[in-house]
Amino acid sequence: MKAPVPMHIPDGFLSLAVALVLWLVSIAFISLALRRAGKELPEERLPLVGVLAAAIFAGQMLNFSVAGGTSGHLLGSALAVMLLGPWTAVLVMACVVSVQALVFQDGGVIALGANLFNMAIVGVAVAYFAASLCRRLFGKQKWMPFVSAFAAGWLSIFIASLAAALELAVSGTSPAAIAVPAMAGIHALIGIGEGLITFGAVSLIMASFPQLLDSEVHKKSQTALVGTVGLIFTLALLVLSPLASSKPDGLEWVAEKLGFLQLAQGPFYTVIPDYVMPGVHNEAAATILAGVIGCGIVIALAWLIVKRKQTAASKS
Amino acid sequence: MIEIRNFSFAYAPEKLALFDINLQVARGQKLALVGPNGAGKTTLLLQLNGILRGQGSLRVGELDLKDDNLPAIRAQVGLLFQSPDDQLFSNSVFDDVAYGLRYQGLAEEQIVGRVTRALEQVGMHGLGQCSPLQLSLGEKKRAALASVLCMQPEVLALDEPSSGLDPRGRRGIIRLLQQLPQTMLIATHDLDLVGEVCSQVAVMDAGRLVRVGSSETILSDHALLTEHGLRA
Amino acid sequence: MTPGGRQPDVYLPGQSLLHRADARVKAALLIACLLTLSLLPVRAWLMYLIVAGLIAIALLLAELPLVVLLRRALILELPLLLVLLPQIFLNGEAGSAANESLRLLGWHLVFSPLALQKVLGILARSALSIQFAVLITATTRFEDLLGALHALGLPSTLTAILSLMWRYLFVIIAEAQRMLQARLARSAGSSPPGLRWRARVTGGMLGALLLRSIQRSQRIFQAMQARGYNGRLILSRIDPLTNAQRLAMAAFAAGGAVLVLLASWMAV
Repeated sequence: MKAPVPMHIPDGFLSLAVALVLWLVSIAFISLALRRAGKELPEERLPLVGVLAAAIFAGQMLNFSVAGGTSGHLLGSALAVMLLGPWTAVLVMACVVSVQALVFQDGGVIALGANLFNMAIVGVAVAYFAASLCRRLFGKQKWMPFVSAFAAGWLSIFIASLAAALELAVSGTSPAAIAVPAMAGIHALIGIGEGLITFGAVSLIMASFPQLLDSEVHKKSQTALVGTVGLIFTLALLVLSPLASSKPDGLEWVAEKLGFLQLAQGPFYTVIPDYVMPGVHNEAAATILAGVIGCGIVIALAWLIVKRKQTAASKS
Repeated sequence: MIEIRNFSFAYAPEKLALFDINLQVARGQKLALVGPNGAGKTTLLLQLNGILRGQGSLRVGELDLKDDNLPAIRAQVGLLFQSPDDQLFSNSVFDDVAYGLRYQGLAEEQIVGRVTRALEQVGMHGLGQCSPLQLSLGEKKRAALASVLCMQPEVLALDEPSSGLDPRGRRGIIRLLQQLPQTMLIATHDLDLVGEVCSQVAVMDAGRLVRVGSSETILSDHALLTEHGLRA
Repeated sequence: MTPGGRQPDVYLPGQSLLHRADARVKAALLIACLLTLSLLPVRAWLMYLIVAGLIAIALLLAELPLVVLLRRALILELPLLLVLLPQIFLNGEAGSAANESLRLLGWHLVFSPLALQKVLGILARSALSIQFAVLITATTRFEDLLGALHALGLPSTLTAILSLMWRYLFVIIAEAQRMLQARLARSAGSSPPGLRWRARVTGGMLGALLLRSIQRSQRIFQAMQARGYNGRLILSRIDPLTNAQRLAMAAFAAGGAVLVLLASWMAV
């Protein structure tokens, strides 16, 4: 079973530090999704999630020829979000990515945390953000669902690929100047296929069961968090990527500016073996640390924003 | 054993699926529910153990169907679904048959015993460790039946038990149903099965019960059968 | 192909030591192997050789056709080669001793022995990880692996969801394949219509597949309810680990740690 999109990172390509950090982040998000998904859907979510994960996995086999021998495939984060709401979509995509890794070796086992983060979390959050944005901008238009399907499909693939590229760069596997443009370029094209298939699927569903895509259902509690996180991922990755690739030491430059570089010289960080990232010194450890703390700040910020909005709403 | 009085059900406000059904099935009796597609046969079967809830009175044995005795009703009524693939949702036949017993809280040793007996009853002895993916349609139907029989229900509600089977498979199911002692309500298009297994027949059409009578009477009433789409 | 789906052919049945070993032990072994490879210094060639040797022994213990296992891994490894090879030349390193520089289409190609070693190291780790993972999945049924993951901490909800996914994966894949065949049968055409139309048709197939799956999941839920499902999850019982198994798992972890420590001592 070949991977549908070249985004599954195999084992050996990520440094252990990056892999472990992303494992922790993924576990946190998926645990949250387990709790929240129950509010999105009624009781029958158990078979629904399992069977839909199987359907999306199978759906990735439905290809169509794009140009010359290449064919477009589906990843499915956007479609899952539009059908099921963000938290359930996280669970569905997590199952898909996990089975791909564990059974078919599409993506590594140690790297599974990173792949889950890219496809099941970033992909879903960004897709949800794009869909909500379209709904807010074009809500009354009849063509809104179709545009938002395409936009969600394209953006989820594109941004997720940036995340993967940056992970490879931080691990020292591939300099950002190569990884980012390569991944971004390829996935900007692949994203078009994803957008088109998502659009096609939404068209069919609109024609037969439009109530399945009813956004009212998805406006239940705490999806605002996902939308905000999606927005932040999108902005952060769009900013970081060109930064990282334009300056070969882009990430170190960021770390230096944030004052972390001094910390890196301390004895604590010699625990991280520098020979895991050949040719790079302890600055890399500093950038990883910056990334971790940065992620934490981003998520805490998003939480605070949402909480403030909710208390404001409940007061009015 | 089964008493249905003034029973109606609607999927949605305008979509009435069952109109004023009145039906009795005596203990040990096997009654066939026949009618064209869309007559409401499956809908009626799903009412029997509370999966769908309609208006009216429905009584199984001593129990009236109510919100708070659904587990007891479901232990009494074994439902065999139309598609065995929907009913065999575990990764091994053993787990599928043991499923209901685990929710009844039985100890593991008891469960093993009951599963073995149920599999023997349907002629699937030794196939416990198979995945449903490895089974033929006939074997799947029998495994699904075992998953219901092991709970030792008093009533069996079967939805198209012989559909899709080759002649040998049909023979096997018919023989099995003839041997089982439970009270049965069987929805089917298979008039041969009706003749060989059931003593009573109820004809349904468009959500209504058109006629109830003995098998001989109904099966020989060609005009009735043709009128309700049961004879070409 | 039966309408009910074909058996997955990832798992290759057998009676070898590896097949009969408990899935929890094999999962621990896999994780130990992968972690060890991740922790080794990139240029720890001797250690890679040792790990390769151990994997080779495991391959023989599985008593399965070696060609099949090696081929599966190779197919997965080849794309990595394509991705990594350019890195040897496009590594942005300038001014290292003993390099040749080449200008090609505006790219500055520099052959760097350092980059070559890095790429070979990554390739070695990746290939060995993939080969061992292929071996474990070929000798372990996914249902058993799932049970092992549950015993090692995977929440019951996720275990149940993955179990259902596995059950219906090949059923729905068979459905998808039938749809592809039907589409093929109808495309007698010479020049296929535009991209947008093709994507729309494919998307339509996908939408139909998803809708049917949603309906199927509702029927499955009804079947679960009919047999007594009350919202609480009861998973099949799994025997506790024996002391021998626990010892084996500890030994794997220890072995990996020894290799890593040796390697770091040698690298200094």
